[in-house]
Amino acid sequence: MAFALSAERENELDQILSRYPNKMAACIPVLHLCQDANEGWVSADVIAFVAGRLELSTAQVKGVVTFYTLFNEEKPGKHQVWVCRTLSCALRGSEDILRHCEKKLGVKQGETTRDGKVTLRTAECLASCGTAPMMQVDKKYYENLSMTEVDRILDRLLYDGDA
Amino acid sequence: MPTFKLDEREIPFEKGETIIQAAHRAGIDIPHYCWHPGLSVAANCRMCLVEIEPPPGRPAMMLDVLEWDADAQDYVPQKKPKLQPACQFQAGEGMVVHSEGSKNVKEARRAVQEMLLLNHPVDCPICDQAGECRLQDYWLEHQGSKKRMKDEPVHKPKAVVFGPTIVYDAERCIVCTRCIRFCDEVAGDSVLDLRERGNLNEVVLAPGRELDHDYTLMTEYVCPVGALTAVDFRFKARVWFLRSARTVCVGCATGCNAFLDFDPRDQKVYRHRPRENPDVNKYWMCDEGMLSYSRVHENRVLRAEIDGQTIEFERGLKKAAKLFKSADPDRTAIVLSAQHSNEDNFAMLVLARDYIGSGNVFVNGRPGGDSDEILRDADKNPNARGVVGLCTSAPPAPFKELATALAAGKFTHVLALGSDASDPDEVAAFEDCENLVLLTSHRGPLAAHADALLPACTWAEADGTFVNRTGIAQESERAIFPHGDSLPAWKLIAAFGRALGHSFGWTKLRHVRAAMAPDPGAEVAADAEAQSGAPA
Repeated sequence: MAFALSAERENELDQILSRYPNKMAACIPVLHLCQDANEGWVSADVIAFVAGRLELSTAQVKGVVTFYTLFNEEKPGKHQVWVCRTLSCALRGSEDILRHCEKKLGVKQGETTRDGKVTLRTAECLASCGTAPMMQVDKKYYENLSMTEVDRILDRLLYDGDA
Repeated sequence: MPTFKLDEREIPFEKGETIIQAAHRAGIDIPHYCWHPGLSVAANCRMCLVEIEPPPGRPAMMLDVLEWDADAQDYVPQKKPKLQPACQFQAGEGMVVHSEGSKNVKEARRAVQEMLLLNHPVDCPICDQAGECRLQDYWLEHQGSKKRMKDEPVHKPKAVVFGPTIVYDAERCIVCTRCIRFCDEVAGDSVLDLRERGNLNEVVLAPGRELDHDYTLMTEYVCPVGALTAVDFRFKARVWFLRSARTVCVGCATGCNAFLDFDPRDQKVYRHRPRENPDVNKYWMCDEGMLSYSRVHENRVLRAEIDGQTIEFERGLKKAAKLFKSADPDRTAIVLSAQHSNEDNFAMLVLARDYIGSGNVFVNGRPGGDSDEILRDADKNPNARGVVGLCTSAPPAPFKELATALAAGKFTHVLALGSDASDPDEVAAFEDCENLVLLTSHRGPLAAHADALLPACTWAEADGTFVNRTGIAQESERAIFPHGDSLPAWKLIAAFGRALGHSFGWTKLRHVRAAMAPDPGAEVAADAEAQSGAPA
């Protein structure tokens, strides 16, 4: 089914386009807009839609989508958990946290739980080194993590459906 | 012209030119992968780094680096000049550039080369690019050391089918983006792009697309390594056994300059690839032209045939001539071929005019086809202008008129160069032709109706001159020796003339050329000038 935006989001798209010197420059914000409107991922239809709107080839849009990790090529879970694995967090046990998450959720990093609730990912430095180890759930930071804290967060995601 | 200094040599440049462009024109090769004279600058391979001295009175831009000190067994702080990519940096008056002469540049190239080979599979023994691969050449020139990385290299997709003509190996790819830029900028079809980043970079197709435009083989040709390989050439030959002849593509009237690569051991041609000519094809050729080399071996007439029966060449020549012994010149038609060179057509004209005495001259060729704004011309014959230029007294009549005249019973004898039919619908008219003699390299549509077939060479087996659509006369070199009993068409025509009892003495190409106008393209050029209104 072809992808289309609601009237409200079409308005937003026009606003985005008005902020840039040319259409190509608006590629990333437009992709974010469309990803939000498409259950959090960029499908082939979305790529075709964006390419058509921005007068780019689908190959160029695909290149942008794959370049940035914040664009999902597959449908993610309802919540996205990003475990930071860069130096400070690594020194403070991010490896163990990741293993713990994998075990608890029953998925490997990069995968989504079978009920579609949580996608587990790793992230490079999220600029919260002073409170390592940390992870990001959707748009919220959880810092100075302990295993009990991780358990509590994941339980809430899995059973209450809300972080 | 302003100049700059490259390794102590004065290099002239035009304003706006980059260092590598000016050096390239002066015949100096600054090592590079991603730069191509016909494409935009990407500056991503970093192989062309050079050291540029600061302008007088200004400090050099220096970088702090750590360098391994073997004596101290430790890294020690060092300062090194910031190097610049020669493909992107514009030349300036009096600039002093060091390339081969700089220790820093040498070190940088060694490092770049080592990095490009980090994840490379080094499968040269099964790679078609081996022997003409920049990774091999530059490893020898700039690196020459063993791989130091002990980790497993990154693995990526192999033998990815991009389309009917191209196969991609992402592990061999150095992500120079030449193929992508070629598709964007020359072919005008952005069907390729990169996905991911860093060491996961690879070239991918647009979703749902294939690499299927008319210039796909050029992506393989611009690939400096073995990442893109042509289905047509894959595993067919090792390039170091091939030799190249400087030919002209006979696929259409554009007359792209080409190299015809052949193996001298088996006398077969393997590949057609573009030869740089800024006035004609720049650096490019179309798929149709690059694949047209296969005509050299396909559907050939290699022996004389009388009434469909193969016969020994000399006897066939005599029998064919016998058909023409009692021919009435006014009822004899002579057919030139826009597929053949000026020399071949000139021989045919001389035979018609001076010996047979017939003024009924027609021109034939392959039927028209697709064209575009890039290179391809709708006229699929390489020498249509040349043929018209040779016929000084009256222009040759088109093939269709010959068919009409034949249907009306106007001609009893037809002697034709080639067996093509520029109007395939009109071939039936030749069925009742009593005496049809074809001097032909291929078994074209007319061959079925021929009373005699005599084998002629293709353009690959003979030297010749072709005049392209803009009136440029271009010489094409012989690649291989004539196959079978075939002779260069001008030689075959002279032999036919002798068999008719005339004193047609040409045996060497220079005899033909001496008999022709001093410059085979002169009439055509003069014609073009007269048309454009320029003073003669």
